Order: sequence, then structure tokens, then C-alpha cells
Amino acid sequence: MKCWPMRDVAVISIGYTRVSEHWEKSLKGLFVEASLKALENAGLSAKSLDGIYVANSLSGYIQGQTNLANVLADSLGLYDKFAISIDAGGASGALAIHEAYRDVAHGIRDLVLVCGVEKMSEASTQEIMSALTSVQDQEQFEYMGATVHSLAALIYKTYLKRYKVRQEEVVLMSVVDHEHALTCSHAQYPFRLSVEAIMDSALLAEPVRVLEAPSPSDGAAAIIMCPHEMAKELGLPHARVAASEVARDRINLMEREDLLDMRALVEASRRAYEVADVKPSDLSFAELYDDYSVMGVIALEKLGLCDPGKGVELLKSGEVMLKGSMPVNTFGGLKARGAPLGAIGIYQATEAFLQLTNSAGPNQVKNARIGLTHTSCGFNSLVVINLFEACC
Amino acid sequence: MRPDDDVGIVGYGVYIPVYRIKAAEIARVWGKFNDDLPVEEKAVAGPDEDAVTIAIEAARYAIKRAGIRPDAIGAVYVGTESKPYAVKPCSTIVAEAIGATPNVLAADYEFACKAGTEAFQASIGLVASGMVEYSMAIGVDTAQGRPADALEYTTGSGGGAFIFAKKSNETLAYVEGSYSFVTDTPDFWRRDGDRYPYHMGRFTGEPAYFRHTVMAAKGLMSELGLRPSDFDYAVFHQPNYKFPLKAARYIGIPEDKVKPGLVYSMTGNTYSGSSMIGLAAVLDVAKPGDRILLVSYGSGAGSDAFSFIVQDAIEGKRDRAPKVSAFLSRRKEVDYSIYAKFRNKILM
Amino acid sequence: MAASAYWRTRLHRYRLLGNKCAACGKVFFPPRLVCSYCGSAKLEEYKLAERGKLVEYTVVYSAPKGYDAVVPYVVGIVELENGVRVVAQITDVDVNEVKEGMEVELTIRRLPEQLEGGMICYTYKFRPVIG
Repeated sequence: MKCWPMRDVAVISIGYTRVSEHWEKSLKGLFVEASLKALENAGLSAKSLDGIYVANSLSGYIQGQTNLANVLADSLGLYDKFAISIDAGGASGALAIHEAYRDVAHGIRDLVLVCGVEKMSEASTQEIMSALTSVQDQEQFEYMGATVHSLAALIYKTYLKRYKVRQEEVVLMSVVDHEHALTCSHAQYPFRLSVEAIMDSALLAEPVRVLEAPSPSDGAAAIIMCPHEMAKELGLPHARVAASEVARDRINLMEREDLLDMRALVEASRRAYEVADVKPSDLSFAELYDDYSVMGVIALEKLGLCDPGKGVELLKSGEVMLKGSMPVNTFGGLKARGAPLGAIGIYQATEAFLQLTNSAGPNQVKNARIGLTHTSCGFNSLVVINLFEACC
Repeated sequence: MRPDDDVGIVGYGVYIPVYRIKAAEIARVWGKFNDDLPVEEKAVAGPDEDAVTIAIEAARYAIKRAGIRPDAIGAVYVGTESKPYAVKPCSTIVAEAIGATPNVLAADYEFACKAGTEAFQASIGLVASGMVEYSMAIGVDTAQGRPADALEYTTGSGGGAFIFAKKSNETLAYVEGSYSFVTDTPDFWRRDGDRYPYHMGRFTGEPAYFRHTVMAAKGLMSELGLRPSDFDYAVFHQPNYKFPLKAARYIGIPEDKVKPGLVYSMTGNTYSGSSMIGLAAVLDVAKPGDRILLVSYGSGAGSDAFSFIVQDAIEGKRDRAPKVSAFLSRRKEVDYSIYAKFRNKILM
Repeated sequence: MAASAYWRTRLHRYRLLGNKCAACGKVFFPPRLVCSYCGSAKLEEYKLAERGKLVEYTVVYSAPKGYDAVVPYVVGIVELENGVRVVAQITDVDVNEVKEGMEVELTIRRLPEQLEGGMICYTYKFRPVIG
């Protein structure tokens, strides 16, 4: 059964913290900062909201904080209204946007705040690894020694062998991320990174190097959404949600026909392109979920931005840079802007908003009309593709 | 002791971990001279091994040789002094892992190095009585020696599993009889909560190992009306390379009949695994009709002596699983630092 | 994980017991409650083969909790004799000796992590074939 949205939905405002180790800020502190900024930028009060959607994956695991949306809504002084927590690992942020988009499109709510927040800095490296592994099926994956890095490594090696490319070429994904982060004021690592530095860094699980995967970070990003008509009435610069699609694939990598097929990514993007009536080449930019450099390269291919196995060629061509024909990870992607897990999808949305409202500053992609954000949970076992479009 | 019905071994298997440490390497760390080392090298359990995992490996190979369904096994007895749990049987984990549960007896035996042959005796009785069709007896250890102590050179890891059934064309050797000689002799012990055992030095020789080993062997021969020359092979517990050969001399058995069962210099003293692996090494080469003497020894103290007659089925069954020689040649040397890490001798 | 939760997974950990969809024949390891291909809830116990080939592997250097004393260690994809693939640790092998295509067989080994109260976890791994 296909549900056609009844109303167009717009993003009218954004607010976000820098991605960093925020020792002095708690989950609440990060959430409130991003949310108040978003409200302020729209000239709205918290009380005008019809509901909030909170995206987060690890608060229960790391902070012991369950019931998060309720607690955070309270911290904003927001009562009487709807609040919901959405957890889908790295896809939490984009899934929260998907949920909010549907509710607004179907007239269930009008003015909503969607905020992703994650605080990972206080957990040890080993706790982070356990936390990240918690998105896998615990009955199968706990207590047998495979880590998420080892799963990424198995995908990585399969990719390198099948397409006969070298790791030095794949890690260009992280190099590109860092180039774009140089001028990103909210990036965790706004500095250049070379292939040599990446290849010299410590091994996580051979061949995956520390410097081609994101580090734990803290951050919160918020967007405010409302019906398009309301956006026009409010007279705020806005972007339209052109499509929001969710697809899922088998969580156990061994149940997939092929380790590299990433069917959910292919399917979600196919549907999103269809709904928005665009081709991959129509995209002005794409924000990829590169939790490992190889996953970014695979995403380039599965999103149809290049042919299978040609991801590194696209990277090498330079067309993925801001001034190229297919800019990718325009503010630094997961590696350089940073990856506070549950908030990633919303950081991507705020970056899309900046591009589409021509407010991306030094990171501006010329004539940005339509942009794609890709998030994944569990190596594309749950994929959310959100397409945003400039309008008015 | 002879059961009313004859009982035999329907399958056997061993397992020796892949890691080895040379005695010379241990001597290097503790400043001992190389010319008086009691062993060439010993087998070291890896960081993911313990008495349970070794028992499971040996049990699986025993089932392969036996060619029986695991759920037909009526009893699983594990003899060890390196139980991972002070209270929780190894045997239930082994029984579950091999698929013998839930219709099975299971218990752990402890009698220092002769816990495995204690399990033999119990299995023989259980099978002969008709209470179970198959009973598995396992002797396994991942013994620990105190750093810098003499025992550190020799305490090795390994084990063997033997499945008993009523004598038939399927059994590869049957039990002619057995004899046990047991007294309260305090030559070696470990108090609950202590990491390493205590041994009484030279007291572990004549009044302990030799007395019980020789008396058990003599008692067996007397009961069965046998003489030392009736045996084609003799397997003794191997705490070092001297004791089994000396015991053989006392009993009157020539060295060349003991050598095939001697694995000590490559495995070290595998405690409850010692007699098991020695017996398996002999079964790997023995011919139908051969008579094997097995005399185990456990501190505390006692010896179980058995006479086995090898049957025709050995020819068809022996190659179904790797022989002791395959395990002996499968080796990876580690240095003392890795050995200490593997054996949890480093305080973390 | 509680001891009882670990206990519920013992058969697939100790005996490499998966299951097979009675409707479409797909084999799963670890076992599933509902077939992920055809949706049938009729799945029968299926014992996986215990020998296979290592088709891909990685060496883990970044130790998860409890593994500090055992890194580096190998995790790989083993293709079993009946074509089913499983992810498992590969043990008894040097990290620089592991090779794609190695013949490996099932072994049950102890994990470095313990559950509350010190309960020991035993699980499937694969090691080079002996003999």
C-alpha cells in the first residue's frame, strides 16, 4: 500500500552544537543548546511546538538513561505535547526525520522539532565498541569475538579483492572528508589528513585503520519541520522534504546473498529517486554514511553516483569535491565532521538545509537544488534516505 | 577385579594443545642450568583452552572412532584436577557439547593424576552391569606449576577420552581385569583456594609413585595369573621420564615395551591426561592380540592397573581420528612471556 | 548477558546447531525463529557440517572488553562443507600464518569474557584441521 503525503513538508530552521568532546555538557545540555538555537533561528518558542522527536541510540547503554525523549522534553520545559524517542543505531537521526515527516505530511502534527543527540566521549574505547556492537543481534553476536570493526574488515577485504583496488585508494574517502571539514565550523576534526597518515595509523581490524573510521563524539543537531504552507506564511528560508524512504536488509551478514549487495541501500535510494522524480545525476550533493571509508565508497556506487567498482575512480577524479560535479560529504562526513551516532542523520539534514538555503558559506555547493542524505544501521541493514529540495 | 561380563573400549580419542614451551626457555628465565632439565618441552594450553575444551575435543574424536550416536552414551565422567569451576561439573558441559544429554549420567572425578582411570573403573562397572550401553571416561588436565618451582618445567596440558561398552566385535580392546591399590599417602596436594599445589619432593618417589604403581601391577598380575613377559606393552603414569622406566624395571618389564607409550618428553606431565595419552599412543600402533598393561598413579595416593587385550576392530577404527603422533607433531613454540600470558600467570 | 540468556544459546554454540526452513530449504546459523527469505515459521533443527574452508578473514587488533590478553586474534568467514557460511574466530593459528582457503574444523573453546558471577562462556571457533 503506497501512502501519498497529503501535504508538502518543509524544514524551516536548524540548530546544532559543534561535534566534539563536550566535557562540560550533558545529554540535556547538548539537546537544549541545539533545540534553543533552532527555535531562536525560527523566532519560535518551545511552547509553539506540537511535539518533539528525539533521535538517540546509546543513551541507555552509555549513560543508563532510558525514557530519553520524555526527559529531554522536560529539560526544555515542554509539557502536554507529544515526545518520542527513536533508536535505530546510526540511522536514528534520519529515521526520526522520517517519522516526523510522515506525521506532518499526514496532518497529525504541524510544528515539530526533531533533534538527535549522542554523548560518547565519556565511555572508554572498549565500552564504545560494546555500545556499537549492541545494534547487532546480541544472541548471535555477543560472546563470540567478532567486533563491528572485524565485520567492516571482512566487507573491506571482499571489496578490495573483487574490484582489484588498493586500500590507499579507498581511504581517499576520509581524505575528502577532511578537506571539506577545513572550513566547517562545527566539525570535530577540521584539519587535513593524508593517505600516508591514515595508512600509518593503528590497525583496528586488518585492514581497517583508526584514521578511516570516526572517533567517538558528542553532539546535538536539531531541525524544525512544518507544513510547506506554514513555512511560506512564516516567511522563513526553507527546504522541502522531497522524499524519505526506509528499507531493511538481513542483520546477519551471513544471511545476505552477497556481502557487498547492500540491498536496503539500493532499494531505499531507488524508491526515494522515484518519489522525488530525480535521477542520481540530478543530485547537487550527497551526504554519505561513511562509518568506514569503504562503506562510503560502496555508497557512491549503490546510490548510482558511479558504476559498481568505480567508487575510487570517482574519488580520484576530484568530482566529489565541493567544486566538482558530484560533491559528497560537503561538511566533512562522518570521519571529519564527526559521528555522534544517533544524531548523524540530523547533522546531515542541517548540512543539506545550509546547502539548499544558500547559507553554507565556504562549503557552499553552487546552485544546490536537491541533496541526498544516507544513514545506515548495521552495515545497511536499516537504511534511511532523505531527499531535500530547495524551493521558493 | 573382573566384571561378570567382559567390557571393552569401543572408541578412543586424545587432544593435545598446539603450543609448546621448551624447558630450556623456562630455565633461561629462572637461571637454571640446561643440562639437568627433566623434559624437552611441554604442551601449553592456549588462552582459549581449559580442561573442558580439551575434554570436548578428545570426546569428539573418541566418538568418531567409536562410530556411535552421541545420544547413546549413558555416562560421561571427567577426571581432572584442573576443574575450571570448583563447583559445577565439567562433565555436564562436555555431555551437552557432544550431544549425550539429557539421558545421561555425568560426574567429575578427582584423584590427582589418576582421575581418568578412576573414571575407567566406574565405566567398566556401569557397562558390565547393563545399566548403560556406553560410558565415556575422560582424563584431562591443564596443570599449573608454581613459577620457578621444579614442577613448572613439567606441568603440561592434554587429555584423552575412552568409551566403554560390553565386549563385542565393535570393541577394539577389552579389559581382562583391573586392580586398584590405594592408601592415604600425602605426597602432593592442593588446598581449596590455593593456585599451585604443594609436593613433598623426594617423598613422591618410593613411598608414593613406586609403591602404588608396583603393588597395583603385581596385584593385577597375581589375580590374572600373568607374568611381566605376558605383556607386549606397558603404559605408566609419566610425571617425568625416569619414573616410568624405573617402575618397569621394578616390575620386570623391558624398556622397549614402555617406550611406545612414553610421550612425556614432548607433552610434559599432563596429569590425568598422562595415562590416557600413553594408552592411546600404544593403541595407535598395537596389533590385535597384543596385551597392554596400564598402570596409572594419582597422588594422595593410588594406582589403577589394567590389562587390555587388543581386538581386531582396532585396525578399522584407529585411522578414523588423528593419532597421538599427529598431535605431537602439531606444535607452535612460545616464549616464557607468551606462556605466562596464556596461563594467566601475569596479574592483570 | 545473564547466565540464563547464555544458556538459551548453548546448543548453537556447543554443537553448531542451526536450522533449516521446511518451506524453502534455506539454512540459518545461528538458528532463526522465522525464515528471513520466505517468512515461514516452520524451521527444523539442522546440524551444520563441522569442516570447511576459510574464505575471508581479518585480524582484530583493537580489543573489545575482556580481550586485552588475547589480541591480536583472527575472525573469519568459514564456508562449511554444505555451503553454509559462518563468522567465527579462527584459533590455534598465528596471525601471519592464516591463509584464505585453509581447511578448518570446529572446536569448542573458552571465551575471555565471563558472565556475572564468573560463569565461563564456551563457544564455537574453528582451527586448522589436525592429521
